[in-house]
Amino acid sequence: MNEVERRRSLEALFREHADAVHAYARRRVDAASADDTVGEVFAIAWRRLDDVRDPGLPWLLACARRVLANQRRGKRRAEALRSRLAASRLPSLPTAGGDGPLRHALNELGERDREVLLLTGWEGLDPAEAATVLGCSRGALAVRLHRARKRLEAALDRVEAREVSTETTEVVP
Amino acid sequence: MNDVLERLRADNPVRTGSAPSIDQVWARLERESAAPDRRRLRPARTLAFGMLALAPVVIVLAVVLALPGGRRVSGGSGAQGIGTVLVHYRTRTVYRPAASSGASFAYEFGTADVWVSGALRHRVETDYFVSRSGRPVGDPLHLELTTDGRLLEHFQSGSLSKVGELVQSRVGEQNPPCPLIVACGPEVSVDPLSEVRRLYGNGGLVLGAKGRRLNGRSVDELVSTGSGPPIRVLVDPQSLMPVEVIAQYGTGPWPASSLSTTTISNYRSSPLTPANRGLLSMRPHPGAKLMCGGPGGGGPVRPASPRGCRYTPSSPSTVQSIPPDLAAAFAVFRRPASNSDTLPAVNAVQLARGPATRGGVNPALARRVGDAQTSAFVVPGNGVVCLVVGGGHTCIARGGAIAGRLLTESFGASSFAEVVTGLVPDGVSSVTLRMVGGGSKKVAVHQNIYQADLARRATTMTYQGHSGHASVAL
Repeated sequence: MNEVERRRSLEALFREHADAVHAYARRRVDAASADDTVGEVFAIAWRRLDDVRDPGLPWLLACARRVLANQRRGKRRAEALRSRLAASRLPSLPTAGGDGPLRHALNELGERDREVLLLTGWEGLDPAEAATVLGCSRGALAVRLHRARKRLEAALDRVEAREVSTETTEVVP
Repeated sequence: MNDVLERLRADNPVRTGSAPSIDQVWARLERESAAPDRRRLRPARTLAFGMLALAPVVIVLAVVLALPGGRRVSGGSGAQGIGTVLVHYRTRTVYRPAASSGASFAYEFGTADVWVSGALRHRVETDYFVSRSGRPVGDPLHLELTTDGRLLEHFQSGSLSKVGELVQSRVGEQNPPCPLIVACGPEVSVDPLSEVRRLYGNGGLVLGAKGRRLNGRSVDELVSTGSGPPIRVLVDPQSLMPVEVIAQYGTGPWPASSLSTTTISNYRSSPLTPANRGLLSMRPHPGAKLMCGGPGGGGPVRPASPRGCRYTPSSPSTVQSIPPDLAAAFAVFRRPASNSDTLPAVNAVQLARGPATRGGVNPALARRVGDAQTSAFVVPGNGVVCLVVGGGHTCIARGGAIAGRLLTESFGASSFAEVVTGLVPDGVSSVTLRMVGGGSKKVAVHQNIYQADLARRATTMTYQGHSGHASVAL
């Protein structure tokens, strides 16, 4: 592929998937970081254009996932002296403006569980695409998704039970 | 069990993304490609002057006409815009008038050496001449321009011009990005490779044809998409390095379908060092007389004082209505505006970028003047008025214009000498142009404008008006 063809390929990839990559990033980080993530993902795609397989979205989301992880690691390194404990945790999803109990429950899950659920629920990927993003087989993905659902349900039960308890405490003098 | 997934889908906080432009990606890639290896091209932050040596129209009109009395400038000694890489390339441009013009000659710019560093700093050195059937006619004109985006310097020598004057002038402080590849004037420079990559990245150029043959090599053809003159760029398929640029012009004295073809060669990018920094500096002939361009890019060129040229910073506001003195002197400024008065985008960009902005010029108040063949515009400002012809413009103080001193000189399409276009006040029905070596030509005035295609260079223009006899030296 010559330079012109490469540019056309990247432009086509960008036209088709840039908004989806932006949405993926925006669901996880602030707007400025999401813009930056899109730029980084497609810059990587340019360098590794031959590796991008059709359909391109799973590859791009896998790339975005690594970019975001790197950003988190960079941030963590900077904050390491302040809090080693905080550094080991995933950033929490915002709970305001959405399904609060569900977000709280998601925040209780580990990264592996949370990501497989979000790829399926928010990104709308099918199991094969989600498996590509996570770098596992389709069978492994099905197992991970099943377990993650179970853990989310359990976490949701705990959260909602806490909320009922809190409400009761507040209402009863 | 699916309930929880459905609940998750319903809670999607971002339904659709809104990605930024792909320009961000190209910019990031260019930054990255420049950072680790200085031998590679520096990022294309260029304000796009469309390659000074790209098109004779640019040189002849934007350069020649952009300054008072056909003198022009470019250059500077400051450090603004200077980069860390020095790009050098050579061009050769031929302007071929359309067959319909009846012209049997071409304007040829001999090899032009261009040095560019950063967004603004550049130097161009060239000898150019007129040719018939590929053979030069007359002596070549040596032209050298330098600029740093603030101060322009220009030096030329040759029989077609005043010899040995080094002219300095100020250019606009503001240099907004230029959307056109060949229409921004000499005050900014371009790295052709970065520029083509930038334009291809943002859609200003798109792929027109693949695998064309040019001098035994395979090239791809990119075509412009903007509203400016149609441009085709033949590029190396792998690197996008432009090897030939073909621009089409059909404005002003240039008949439709006229073409300029520029070949680009010897492209080289190297770190800017103290040793090669001098390549960006003006090198006039020893004893060259220092002249100063007028304020706001207008007014006559005058000898420099012993302390050099001094410029008074001024940034008058843009004029909002036709000034009364112009309306009183020129009928064209008294008539209401019409659609035909809309200034071409190329000219509007040049006015916006150039020193005319410091004269408070307002392109929205432009009036088309002359007949259909002339295609000239006058544009009022605060203190100045500009005459736009073809791809260039001249601005002078309003008082000078009212006295008949607003004129431009350019190379014509029907002769190899020059075209003189000028603005004269009401009551003048004709002007007389006297030529070098004797002889004169009487030219009719239409709507305050005269235009003459001369076989030889003119020395003076005279007319009889309401205020009596007037004589203007060219």
